[in-house]
Amino acid sequence: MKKAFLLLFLLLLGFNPGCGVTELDKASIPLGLGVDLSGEQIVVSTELASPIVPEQAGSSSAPDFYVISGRGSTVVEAARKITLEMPRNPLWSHTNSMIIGEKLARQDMALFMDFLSRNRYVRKNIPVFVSSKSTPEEILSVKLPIEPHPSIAIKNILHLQEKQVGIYVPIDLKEMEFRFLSPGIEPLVPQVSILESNTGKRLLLEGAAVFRGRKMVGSFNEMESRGYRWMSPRMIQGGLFLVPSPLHTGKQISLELSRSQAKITPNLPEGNIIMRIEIKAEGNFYEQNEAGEFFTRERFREIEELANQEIKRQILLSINKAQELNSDVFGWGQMIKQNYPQQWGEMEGNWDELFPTVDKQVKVRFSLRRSYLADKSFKFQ
Amino acid sequence: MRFIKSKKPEKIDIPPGELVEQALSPVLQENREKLKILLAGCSDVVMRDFMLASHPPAPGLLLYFDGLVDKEQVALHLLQPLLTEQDGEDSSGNLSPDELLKRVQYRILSVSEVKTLGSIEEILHHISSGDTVLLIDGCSSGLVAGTRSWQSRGIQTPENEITIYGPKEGLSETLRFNTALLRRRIKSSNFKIENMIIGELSKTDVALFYIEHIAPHPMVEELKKRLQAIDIDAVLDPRYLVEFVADEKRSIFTQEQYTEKPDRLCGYLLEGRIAIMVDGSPMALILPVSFLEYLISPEDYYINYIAASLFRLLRLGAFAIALLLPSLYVAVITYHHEMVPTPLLLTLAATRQGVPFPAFVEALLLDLTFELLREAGLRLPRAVGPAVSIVGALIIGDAAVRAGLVSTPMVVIIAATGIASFASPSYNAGIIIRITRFGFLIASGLLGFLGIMIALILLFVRMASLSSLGLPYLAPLAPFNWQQLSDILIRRPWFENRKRPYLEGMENQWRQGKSTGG
Repeated sequence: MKKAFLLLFLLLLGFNPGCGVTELDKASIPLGLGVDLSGEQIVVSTELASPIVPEQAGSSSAPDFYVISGRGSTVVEAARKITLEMPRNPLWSHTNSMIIGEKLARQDMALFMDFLSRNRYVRKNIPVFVSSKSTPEEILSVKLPIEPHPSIAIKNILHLQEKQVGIYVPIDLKEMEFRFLSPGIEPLVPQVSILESNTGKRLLLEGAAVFRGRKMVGSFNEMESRGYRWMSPRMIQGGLFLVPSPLHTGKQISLELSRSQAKITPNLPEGNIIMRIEIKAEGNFYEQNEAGEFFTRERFREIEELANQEIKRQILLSINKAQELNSDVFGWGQMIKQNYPQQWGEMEGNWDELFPTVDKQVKVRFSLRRSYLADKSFKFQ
Repeated sequence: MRFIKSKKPEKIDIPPGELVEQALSPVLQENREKLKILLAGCSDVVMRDFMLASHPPAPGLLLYFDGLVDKEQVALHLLQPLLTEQDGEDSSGNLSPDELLKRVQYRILSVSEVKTLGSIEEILHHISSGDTVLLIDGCSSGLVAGTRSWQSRGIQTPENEITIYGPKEGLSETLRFNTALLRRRIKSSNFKIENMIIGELSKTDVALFYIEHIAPHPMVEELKKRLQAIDIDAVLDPRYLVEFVADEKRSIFTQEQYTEKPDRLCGYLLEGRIAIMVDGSPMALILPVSFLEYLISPEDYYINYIAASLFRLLRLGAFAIALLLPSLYVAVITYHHEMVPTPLLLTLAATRQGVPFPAFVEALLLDLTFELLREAGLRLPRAVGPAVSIVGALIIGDAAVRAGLVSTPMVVIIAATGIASFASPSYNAGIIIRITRFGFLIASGLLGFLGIMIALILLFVRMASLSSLGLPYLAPLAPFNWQQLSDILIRRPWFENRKRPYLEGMENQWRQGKSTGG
C-alpha cells in the first residue's frame, strides 16, 4: 500500500513536466488593460510594468512601464498581436483596472463582453472605467507624479474619493457583467479623463457612463453621481457635501457624511409605479466659511433640514437624468421583480416605456452628530 | 565471551571460556593462576598479596582495577584491618575456612557493602565495575567490597538544553549519580529504577525509570521484554537501544525524546512515561512520545502560563515556517503569481532578473548550502567558528546575490526558515523538519500548491500510521482529544491541570484531588 502511494505520487510527478510553470524572470506583469475601437478594429492596450530594481527605485532613468497595443477584428486577435511584440508571458491576474474606450462603449459592448465573461485570467473584482474624451491607450500612457503606474493610480483615486469625497461608486467587472445580464438594472461606470496642466498630464475622474442595453447612452455629472450614490442599496460611509449657510447668504457649510442607508420600496397602486426612497443618514459638522454661531439646538435642526433638502435635490437630479436617458441604473426593475414578481412579468417587456414614467417619493432624515475639536464657532475678537 | 575465546591459554590447558565458568578453588594459588591468565594484558589490574593477621596467618589476595576504586578506602578499610586485626578471644586457634570468611566479612572489613561470591565470572564482573575482590587461601568463596569511585565530569548545566528559569542541574555519565538526582526529586517508593545489564562485552548497566501505577504496567512490561531481547556486543548510548525498541524502526520520524535535564525527565515520568538511561551516557531516553509533544519546551512550566502558551503557539508557527516556507515561496513565484500582492510581485520580478536558475533549483541550492554550513559549524573548534560564520554570511549571503547566482528574497526566505528551525525545542523534531522540508521543496517545484498538498497528505498519513510504544504518533490530534490537544497547544495553569495526559493502561490519571499518590 505504501509503495503504491509512492508510485502514484512519482507517476503524478512524472506526467507533469512543469506545466503551468512561469518563472518570474520570463514573465511580464500587465497592470492595466484597455479596449477600444479604432475604425472597424478593436484595439487592446496593456500597461506592462517594468520590474523595479530595489537599488534603483526612485531614480527615473528607466521608464516604469510600457504600453503596448494590438489591433484586430476580435479581442483575441488584437491580444495576439501584443504577444508578437512581447518576449514574456503576461500574468494577467495582476491587472489592476480595466478601461473601456468611450468609442467602443457607445458603439456596442457586445464586441467585448463575451470575451470578458469567458476570460479566466483577468480577475473579476477589478474596477472598470470608461474613458472620456481620450482612448484607453492614452490614459494608460499618462506618466503621473508620485504613483508611477496609471492603472494603479486610477484605482486608488477611485477608492479614495469614495471614502473621502463620496461622488462615484466603484463598479467591478463582476458587477458590470451582472448588470448587463440582468433585466431591470443597468451599469453605471465611472469615467476617467486626462487633465492637461502646466506640470504635465494627470488623470481625473469625471462623470459616470450610463449604459442601456448594449451601449453607453450618456453620462452623469458630479451631482447626478452623488444622487446615485445616496441610493446605493448598501450602507455608504464617508463623503463630504455642501449646504448653504442658514446665517449668511452666499456662504456655505461643509458636512461630512459618516454613514447613510437607503431604503427603496416599490409601490404599485392602481397601475402606477411609485418608488418610495427613504434615506437615513448621519454626519458631522466639518467647516463653515463664516464665523456664525451654529451650535444651538435650533440651528442644528436648521442645518439638518438644509442637508435633507440638499440630499433630496441630488437624488432628484440623478433620477431625472436617468429617466431622461431611459436607463434604469438604480435597479428599480430588479426591486419590483423581487417585491411583485407577477406584476413584473407583465412589465418586463415594456420596462423601457414604463421606467421614465415612474413616480418617486423621496424622504431624507439626516442627523448631525459631532463637530470635532470645536464646540463653538471660531470667533475673532 | 567470544572475545575471550579467541585468545589462546598459556599455561593451563583449559580454554579461558571454561575457565571463566569455573567455581573458585579453595587453593588460592590456583585461583591466582587462573585469574592471571584471564587478566593477561590488562595493565590496570592490581593484585595485592598479603598475609591475614590470623592464627595461623593465611595468605590472601586483593584484586581491583586501578582507577575504578577509591584507593584510600581500600587501604584504610580493607587492607589495614586485614593486616592488623588480631583474632578475638572467642576464636583462639583454628577456625574453619567458612568461619574465617564470615569473621572477615562481619568483624574485620569496615566497608559498607560486602558480599560473598563463588565464581571466577563474578570476580571479573565485579572488579571491572570498580569493586575490590578479596580471596583468602582455603576458602572456596571470596568477598567483594563496594569501593567504586572514579573521576567523572560531575554535575554540570546541560549545554544543549538551555533554559532561563528552572533547575540547572544536568545528568551526567555516571548512572549512579543520575539515579540519585532523580530519586531526590521523586521521594516515593513508587518511583522504580530497574536495572538490567545489556551488552555481551560491555556489560552495561541499563536503568529503566518509571512510576508505578502511573506508567501503564503493560507498557513497562513490553519495554522490558523488548530490552531483554537485545543481543549486542556493547551499548554506549540509549540510541543503541531505541533502534531495537522502537515500534517502527525504519523511519526518520523518531518516536522518542532525549533529555539531559533531570527535572524534565521527572516531568515526563510523572506523566506516566518510561525513561531509559545507560551507564556512560548523560542522555535519558523517554518513551512513549508523540510528535506534538516535541513542541513543548521544559521552560514552559517555569514561566507564566499565558506567556508560555503564546510562546508555544509561536513555536507551532515556527514549525510550519521551517517546514513549508521555501516550498510555499517556490510554489507562489513559479505557479501561483496571483497570490502575491502586485507591488511585491514587481519587486520580486526585479530581483529575479538575470538569476540563472529556476526558483526551485535556487531554493534547493541555498537550502543545501545552509544545511552544509550548519553541519560544518556544529563540530567546529571554537577558534574557527567565527571564520566559518563570516564565510557563510558574507560569501554565501552577500556575494552570491551580487554575483547574480541567487536572488535576495530567496536568501531572506532561507534565512527565515533557518531561524524558524532553530526555534524547535527538540533536536529530534528539528531533524525531522529539516529532512522533510526537502521533500516539500521538490513537490512544490514539480506541482506547486498541489504538490505541497500531496506531500502534506502523505506526511500526515505516514505520521498517523506510526506509534511509540503503542501511543499513536499524532496522539491528541489523531485520535482526536480536545482536552489533551488544548494542553499541548497552550500550557494550562497548574491549578487547572488536574489530569495527566492519558496513556492506554494508566491506572491513576489524577494529578490533583482524588488519590494523587498513585
